[in-house]
Amino acid sequence: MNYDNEKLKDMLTAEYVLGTLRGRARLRFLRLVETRPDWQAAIDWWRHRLNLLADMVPAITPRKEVWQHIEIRLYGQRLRSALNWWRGLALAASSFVVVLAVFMVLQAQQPAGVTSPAPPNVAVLTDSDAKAGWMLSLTRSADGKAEMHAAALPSLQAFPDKSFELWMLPADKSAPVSLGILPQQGKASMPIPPTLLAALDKGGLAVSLEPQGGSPTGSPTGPVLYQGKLAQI
Amino acid sequence: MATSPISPAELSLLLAKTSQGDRHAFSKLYDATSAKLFSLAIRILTRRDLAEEALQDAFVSIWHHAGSFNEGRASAMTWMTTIMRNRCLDLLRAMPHEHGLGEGQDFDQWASEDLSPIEQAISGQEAHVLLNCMKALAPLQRQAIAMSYFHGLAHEQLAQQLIQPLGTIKTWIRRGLQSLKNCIAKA
Repeated sequence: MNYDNEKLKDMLTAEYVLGTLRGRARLRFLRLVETRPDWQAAIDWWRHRLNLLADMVPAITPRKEVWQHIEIRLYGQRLRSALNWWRGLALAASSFVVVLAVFMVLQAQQPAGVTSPAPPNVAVLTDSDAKAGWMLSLTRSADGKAEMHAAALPSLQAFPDKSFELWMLPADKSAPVSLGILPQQGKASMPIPPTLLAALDKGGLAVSLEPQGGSPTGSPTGPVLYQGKLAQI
Repeated sequence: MATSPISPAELSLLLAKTSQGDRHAFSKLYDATSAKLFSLAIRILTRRDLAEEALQDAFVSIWHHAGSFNEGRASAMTWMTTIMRNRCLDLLRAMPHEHGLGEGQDFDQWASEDLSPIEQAISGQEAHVLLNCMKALAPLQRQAIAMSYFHGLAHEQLAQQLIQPLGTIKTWIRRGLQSLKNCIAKA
């Protein structure tokens, strides 16, 4: 066959893209294309044109859940597995996180002139790639009030039209308790009811991606993207 | 969803950002393209649940392979449509044989003289050019090309479906594609 023949090139590439080129003819074609940029260009031409057929089908919006599943597959696990995650966290990893957190707290956290009666508890919230999103520190004042201070870290991947909600995962596996919305940049503080303090010591922390303003249901609705656990300095 | 008026250049930019791990750009890319890609998946697979699965697979693949998108070789939409179609055809081939051309797969509209229902679905100018060129084909020729695109049918299967000799089908497809090429080149 004369492979410089324009018409032959057009027809074989068109049938390849359409899908009617099969079997040995297709294998021969693929071998040939590897060494022929002009044939690759013809494939690109046909790919562009024939895929316009997809634009001739009326658009159908997929259910919201499809996107949520994509987010979970790519960025996070469901809350159930989050619970197991922090429990099974290797000691080495957690002690590294604590050392890092202590270092950062001592460097940056202590506001001038305020002395905390007890040393703060700290946590670094990390995603499944161990990338840190926030540093948290829990401070208790002498009158028994507690506050969680959160600082978004530069490596945080922001979602401008969503909110990151912080949850406490009780050690007794009861329902997660919302602690508040985390800042996407800079710092924020949230008051912690004294009744939660004991549970916070033992429980884990998780961050879910929620509609702006937080979960409408009071329970996590989006994928869990970050996790961590408070540790004493 | 109304088709968002998002330009090919914007889609390319979103894909480029996606390749750098930008989740927000990826989310916008999904919003801009998922309705068209989902309708393609439904057209090929006919079942909504399978189409949802295929759409998920396609976008997971788009996220992971966005870096290999080459703007010089394809538009973002062409690149994504190719991923979507290939995923659907793979799923289709993996299915039990009974799931052939089901009830939901009606290709008669492609053989009709009146292509206005198809025309109404189009969102981009280039697809209008292609459809105008397809109007010049014989109805059955047009139908054979559409069946092959949307159902991945080979010549032999087309011959069975359209009850025509294999040689006739091969000639239809070849001549059909040739006249599309000439027509688009002139447009």
